[in-house]
Amino acid sequence: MTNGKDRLAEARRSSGASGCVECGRCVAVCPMAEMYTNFSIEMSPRGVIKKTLTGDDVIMDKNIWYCTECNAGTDMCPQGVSCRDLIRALREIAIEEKVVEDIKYCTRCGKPFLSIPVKNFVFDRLEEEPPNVLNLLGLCPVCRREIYMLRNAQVL
Amino acid sequence: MQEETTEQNNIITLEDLRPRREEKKTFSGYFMPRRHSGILFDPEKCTGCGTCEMVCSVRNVSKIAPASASMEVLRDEEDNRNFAILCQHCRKPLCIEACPTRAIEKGEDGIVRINKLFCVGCGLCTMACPEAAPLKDPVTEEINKCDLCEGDPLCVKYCPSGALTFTKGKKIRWIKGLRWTVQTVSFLLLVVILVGTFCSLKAGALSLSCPAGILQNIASSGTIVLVWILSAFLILGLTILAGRFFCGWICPFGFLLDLVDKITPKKIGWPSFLKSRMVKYGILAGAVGGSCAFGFQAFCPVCPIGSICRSYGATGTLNGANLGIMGALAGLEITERRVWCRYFCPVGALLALFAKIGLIKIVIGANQCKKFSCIQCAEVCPMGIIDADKLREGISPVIRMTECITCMRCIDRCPYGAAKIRFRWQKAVPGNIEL
Amino acid sequence: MKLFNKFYNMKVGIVDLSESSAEVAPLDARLVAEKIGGAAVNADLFKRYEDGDPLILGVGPLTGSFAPASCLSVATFLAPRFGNLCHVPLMLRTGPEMKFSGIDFLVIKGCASSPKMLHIDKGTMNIVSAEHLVGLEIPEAVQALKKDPPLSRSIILTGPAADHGVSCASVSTGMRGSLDKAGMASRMASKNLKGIIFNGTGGLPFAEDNLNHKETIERDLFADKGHGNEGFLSVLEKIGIEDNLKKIIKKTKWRNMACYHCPSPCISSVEFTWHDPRKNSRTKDNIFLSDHMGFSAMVKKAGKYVLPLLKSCLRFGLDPVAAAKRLPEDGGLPELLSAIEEMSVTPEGPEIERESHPIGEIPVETHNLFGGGIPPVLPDELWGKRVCLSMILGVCPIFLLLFPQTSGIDLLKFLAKDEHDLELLEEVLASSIQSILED
Repeated sequence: MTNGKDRLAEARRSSGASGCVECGRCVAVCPMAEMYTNFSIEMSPRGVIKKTLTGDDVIMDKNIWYCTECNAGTDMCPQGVSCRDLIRALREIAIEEKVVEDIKYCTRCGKPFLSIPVKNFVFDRLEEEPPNVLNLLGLCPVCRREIYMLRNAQVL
Repeated sequence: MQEETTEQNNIITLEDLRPRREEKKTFSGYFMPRRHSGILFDPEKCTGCGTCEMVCSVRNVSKIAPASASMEVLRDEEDNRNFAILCQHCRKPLCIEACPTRAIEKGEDGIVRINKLFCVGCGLCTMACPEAAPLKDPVTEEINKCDLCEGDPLCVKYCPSGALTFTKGKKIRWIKGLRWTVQTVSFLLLVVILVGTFCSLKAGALSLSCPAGILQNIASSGTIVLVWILSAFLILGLTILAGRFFCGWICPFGFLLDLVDKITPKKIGWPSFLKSRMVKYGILAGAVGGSCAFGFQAFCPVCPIGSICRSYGATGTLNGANLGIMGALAGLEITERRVWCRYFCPVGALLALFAKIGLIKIVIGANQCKKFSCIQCAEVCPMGIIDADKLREGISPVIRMTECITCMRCIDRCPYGAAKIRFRWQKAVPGNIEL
Repeated sequence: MKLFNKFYNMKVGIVDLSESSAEVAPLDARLVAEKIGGAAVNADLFKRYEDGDPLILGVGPLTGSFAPASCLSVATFLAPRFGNLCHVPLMLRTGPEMKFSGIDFLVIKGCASSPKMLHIDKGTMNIVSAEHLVGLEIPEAVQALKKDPPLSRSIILTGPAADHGVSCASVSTGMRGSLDKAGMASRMASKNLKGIIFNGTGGLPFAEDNLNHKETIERDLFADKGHGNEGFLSVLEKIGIEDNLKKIIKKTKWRNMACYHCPSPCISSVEFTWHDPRKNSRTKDNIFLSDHMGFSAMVKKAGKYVLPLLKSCLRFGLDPVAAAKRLPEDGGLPELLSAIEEMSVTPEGPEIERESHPIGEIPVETHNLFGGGIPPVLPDELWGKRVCLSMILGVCPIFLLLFPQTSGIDLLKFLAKDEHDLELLEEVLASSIQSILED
């Protein structure tokens, strides 16, 4: 856990989280508001940054798994805080600390590549699609490429 | 939460700012351009030089940076094949469904574009796209997606090997025009001008008969007349040469069904417990057996093809039963296309037996096919014999020539030239020989 | 001269394997101004770091740009097999990926204590352990590397032959082999360097007139045919084609492949079926052919078995020319295959044998100077000059040999903004060509 603490401090520093002035611009542009009906201030980038700065148990928090790691908040921040990089770092620490119940694993190679809430959002939107399309969505980018190559290698 | 609803009504949501498109012009809910433009990729010609990525990145980021291009050439070092990931500008783009900020739009020209104003680079479109065609720039973390360079793609222009080609879709579907003309002419000929001719026709030495009718004749009379065989063989021989072309191109009742289909575009579906294509063979056997037992052509009096041939003109006789059967069968068109031809027609069953040993086949090459984005062939097939799921998985579907009516709608419609007509013994790819 | 700022990152990576340190330093602008780039700058860097027994990788100014066939990077080192300074061309995507990964020249000094990989991405270099790759055949090793994110875009790798200390080992770019006949793999193995990964995610600034100039050049070159070469065979025809070769060609399926931005492919992938004696069954296989000298040497020796034998050379990272020399005179495919396997595990391997006779009309010294793998397409003096030109500018030597009508001035026009620059560049180019050939 000490290692985790160090890495958390490193994550705070590298993403510039301590510079947050709580202006809320990142919340205003955050696409999660559109994606999730239960969007709340705890889930928003501002809430996550606040929690990162105040407590070490942020990696146990479910709220870090809703983010899509987009550029919106990072681009908008007047203080240059990168909520995207912060969330990425938090997730990496969480995976190392084995807090993994919200992670989607690739169905082919078994590597973690996506969070369950984001996956659920996409699957809900595409629920009318046939199962073979949805099966593809469960593959990590590396495996997808391999599947494409295999598919392409077939000759008639 | 319920107390807040009145307050929430005052909040401006994304729905107010950027409402989803509501143009339900086709079944899939998206506006469909008449011509489907896109870039076609030929893996056989691609050398993997990556010039396409270079010029594409120049347009995207004003730098030569292949990793920032809107397309990517995957290079498989084991099989030594190259495969380009390209946006296919799908007819039903999944990226639009998945985008949380609604930054992706399909224009009236069919081009799917990302509006950079609204795109936040979350990458959900990359995940939702079956081809993973929107690519994330490794440096700027923005999403790059092909917009066909607004009609003049640079990658196609600079491809040195001609592996990439740009298509604006077929302009004239000439097979379609030809088929409708032939169908109309043969309808007029068989129904209006030469009344009752399909069942049997004699013009001097030439004689033409319905093969199923001849079979029933033989069964009922117990004698074989050589002229009958020859007159039936005209159609059967042509069936061996060209498949069940009669059903798709000549049959007047089939023409009627196609017309009914035009006015009933919505299908309610045929009950699955009745979906046996063997029924028609049973009806054929029943007709022959019945003729044998009763001593007259058992099926011909109710045959809808015969009925329609006999229905016109001064001598036209169309009694209530005939009209009823014909109307009911034509009415079945609201469940599926060509229900009669698919499941019941004994004439078609007899032709199918000969088409099985026929000389031609229809192939749909999964390699040329663009899979997810299209599947138009399965949609236009009136017999419903093209397996869309197989195509989506990238497997060339087997097309049973017994069920195919050689209408060539799939060949006509395929924008990628993947559907082809071939001789039975032809292979799409030449085989390899041992060293 | 600020001309080159657009074509270089102006960064040189200096790796000391003994101290496992890797730093990126700014490139001396005078160096490229005097020598232009590629092999000429490499040779200069070699002199500067001579005491560290360096292996130097470098790109030319045109590498990665819109100049035709701009795929080249050059490795410069003291060749163990020839004993002289050697400039080996590394093709496919190595050059551009190296440039786009943020460094132009790479100096590798010293010797590591355990097998290491060098990983270069976005202008930073990391030395990582490669213990798990030792002894793996090249396809397996490449697959293991590609599974590991971030995706490796270009890999230079030594095979099991080099691990076993075979002197005629050859370095491999990905799974696809290379033109190295000088022993670059042995040099890397002696440094305990298993491979280098370039992850070229960056880019080069782009000058619009370059695209137009490229179009003009290619239009002139292919005016009569409308397209470039017909792959591997077009080069084989130029260096002499054998009768039984035609038989082999008939029975296989060839597809043209190309290095980075090459309008005229001279390499091919071949699909063939053969009777695998080990599995005792017919197997469908395919092979990537990029080594013209290796193919012609092997086909002279082993005739119809050439493709399986080359495939096995690629797997072990052996130089096919040297392997062909060592093969038994006659024997079936099983014997030949096991002979190659034997070769790849025998330490020291076949003893060093220097080519003594000229290749075509090219003196053997000149041929060996460039790694001994570039096909002798043109007669003597022209060959040396054209190859030298390509090695300095970073354009494929085979392309320049096949199309002698593309002059150095044509290529320098990509760099120069006006007539004055062009004259200056011509002078510098002539002198640096001279310096390489005289060394």
